[in-house]
Amino acid sequence: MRVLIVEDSVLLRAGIGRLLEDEDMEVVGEAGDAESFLAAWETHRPDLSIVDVRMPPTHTDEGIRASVELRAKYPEAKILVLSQYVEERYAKELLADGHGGVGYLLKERIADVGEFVEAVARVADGGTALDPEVVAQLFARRRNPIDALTPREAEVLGLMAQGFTNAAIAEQLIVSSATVEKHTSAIFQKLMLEQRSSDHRRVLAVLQWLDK
Amino acid sequence: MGIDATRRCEVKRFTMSRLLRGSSYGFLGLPFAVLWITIFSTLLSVSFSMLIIGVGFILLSITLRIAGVCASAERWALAETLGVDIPPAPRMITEGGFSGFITNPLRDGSYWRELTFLCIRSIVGVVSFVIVVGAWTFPIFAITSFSWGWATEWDFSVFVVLFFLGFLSLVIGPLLVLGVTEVQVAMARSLLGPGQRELIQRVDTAQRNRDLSVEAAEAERRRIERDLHDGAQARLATVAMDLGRAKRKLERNGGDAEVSAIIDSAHDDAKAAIVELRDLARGIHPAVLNDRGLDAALSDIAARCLVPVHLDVQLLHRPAAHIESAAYFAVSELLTNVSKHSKANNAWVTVRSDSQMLRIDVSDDGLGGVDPGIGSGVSGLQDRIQSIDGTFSIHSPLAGGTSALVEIPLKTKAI
Repeated sequence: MRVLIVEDSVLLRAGIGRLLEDEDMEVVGEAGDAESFLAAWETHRPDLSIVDVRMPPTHTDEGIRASVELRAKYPEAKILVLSQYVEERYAKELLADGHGGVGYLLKERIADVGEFVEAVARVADGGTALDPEVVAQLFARRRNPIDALTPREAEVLGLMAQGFTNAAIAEQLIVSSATVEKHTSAIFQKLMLEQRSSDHRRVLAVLQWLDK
Repeated sequence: MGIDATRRCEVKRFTMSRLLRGSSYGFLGLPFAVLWITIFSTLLSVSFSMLIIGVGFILLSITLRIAGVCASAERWALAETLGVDIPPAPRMITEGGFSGFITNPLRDGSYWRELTFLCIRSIVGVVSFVIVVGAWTFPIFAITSFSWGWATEWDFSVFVVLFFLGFLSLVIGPLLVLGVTEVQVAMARSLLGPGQRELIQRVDTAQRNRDLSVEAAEAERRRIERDLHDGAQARLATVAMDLGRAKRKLERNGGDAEVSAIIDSAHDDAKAAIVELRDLARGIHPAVLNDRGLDAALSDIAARCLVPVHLDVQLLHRPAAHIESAAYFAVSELLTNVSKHSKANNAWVTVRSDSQMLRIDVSDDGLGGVDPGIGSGVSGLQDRIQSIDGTFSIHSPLAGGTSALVEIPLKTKAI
C-alpha cells in the first residue's frame, strides 16, 4: 500500500513512517502543511493519506479543511485524519460528502498497532474508521432513543458507527456473525432505519440518525 | 456594605474620643497656619512679582512643589489625630527632563489644589485653634467666675450671665469643635485627595490594565496548550507508537515473556499518560473553542457530562476570545458540579446572546441546596466572571433543582 504522511511534527512523521514500514507499507511522500499536502497528493496519488489536523500556519484545523477540499476535487482520495483530540464536529465535516474512505482517529490509537493497521486497511478499502470517542460524543447527544436499545445492541451500534463490519464486530464481541446480524436488524428496526447494502452506507445512516 | 454603615454610625456619634481627636487636630491648626502663612505669603508674593521676567515661573513651580511636601504633613496630621486617611492625589503630568521638572507642577491640578488647601488652612486653622482653646477654657473660666470674681470690680449680673454662658458653652463648645473639624476634613478630602478627573482616569487605567491582563492570561493559556501539543504530547505519542511496534514484533517473533510483560506495562502507561496530558491541555485551553467556537466546544463538554445535557446555543455574533473562554469554563465548572453533586436526571444548558449581553443558563433537576460559599469551584467561577464585568447568580432551593445564570457584557469587542 502506498501512503502519504501529512504531519508537521518531524518526530511523529518519522514514527508513523517506521510503523508503516514494519507493516510492509510504502511511504511515498511526506508533507508538513496543507498546501504541500494537496500538491504531494496530486504528484503521488497515494492509496491513503494520513493527515494531522493541526498544521501550520494557524495550527487549528488545517488538516480537516484540506481533506474536505481534496475530496471535493478527488472523491476517490482516501484519508485517515489523526488528531490529538477528537470533536464530533470535525467528524461530521469529514463525512459530509457521503463518500467512503474516511477515517478520524485519536493520534494515540496508533500506539495500538494492530488496531491501527486494521483501520488503515479499512479506510484504504473505502470503509470508515471513526474513533470510539467521537461515537461517544454523538451518543451523548441522543441519549433517550438509545435507551430503547439493550446494552448489547447499544454496544453493537457503537461499533457500527465506528465503521466495523458485521464480521469484525462478531470477532470483537466474541459472538457469531449470525448473532451480530440479529442485533443489527433489531437496531435498525428500533431506530426505524433502512438496511443498507454497503458498510459505509450503513455507517452514514447510523451517523445521520445520531446527528438528528 | 453592612460594615461600612456601622462604621459611619460610629464616626457620627458624639464621643469623648472624637472630641479629643478633633481638639488635637484643631489645636495643631495654629502652628500649621503660622508655618503656611510665613512660607507661602513670602514665596507667592516673590513668585508673582517676578512672573514678568520669567524667573517667577520657576519660583512658582518650586512653591508648588513645597506645597506638595507641606500637604503631606497635613495628611500625616489628619491620619495621626483623626485617623482620616486621605490618599495623595496622583500626579497626572510626569514629563521628564528639566522642563518637565519646572512645568509639571504648573500644569498639574493636584499641586494647585494642595496649595489652595494650605492657603485656606492658614485662615481656618487659626479659627479652629481659637474654637478649641475657647471650648476647653471658657466653661472653666465662666463657671468658676464666682470663686475669683471678688478680685474684680464687675457687676454681680455679669457673673450670673457668665455662669449660665459657661454651662451653655459646655454644649456648644464641643459641637463647634466637631463642626470645625468636619469642615476641615471635608476640605482636605476634596483638595488633598484625588480629584474627580483623576479618579475617573484611575478607574479607566485600572480597567484597561485588567482587560490587558485578562487577554494576556488568555494568550498565555493558548501558548501553553500549543507548546504541550507540539512538545510533550507529540513525543509521548512517538514513545507509545514505538512501544506498540516493539510489542507487535515480540508477538510475531515470540520473544521473552518477561520482556513482553515489561513492554506491555510501559505501553499502557504511555497511553494513560497521553490521555492525562490531553485532559490537562483541554483544561488549560480547549483548542476546538478557537477553531469552531462556543457551540462546538460546549457540545464536547456536554457529551462528557455524566448527566444527560440538553444543549441549546444561539449566538448573534461570535464573542471575543476571552469571553468565549470564560463562558466555556463557566459551563464546564457548572456541569462538573452537576455531575458530581446534583444526582440529577437531566441538565439544561442554554446560551443566548444579543448585541449587549451573553447569557448562560445552566440548570438541573437534581437535589438543590447548593451553597455558593462552599466549594472553591463556584467562587473561583464567580471571580473569573467578575474579572470580565460579568455577573453570576445561583438559585438552588433545598426543595430541589439548581439553576445558575451567568451574564457577560459583550462590550464593543464582539466581532
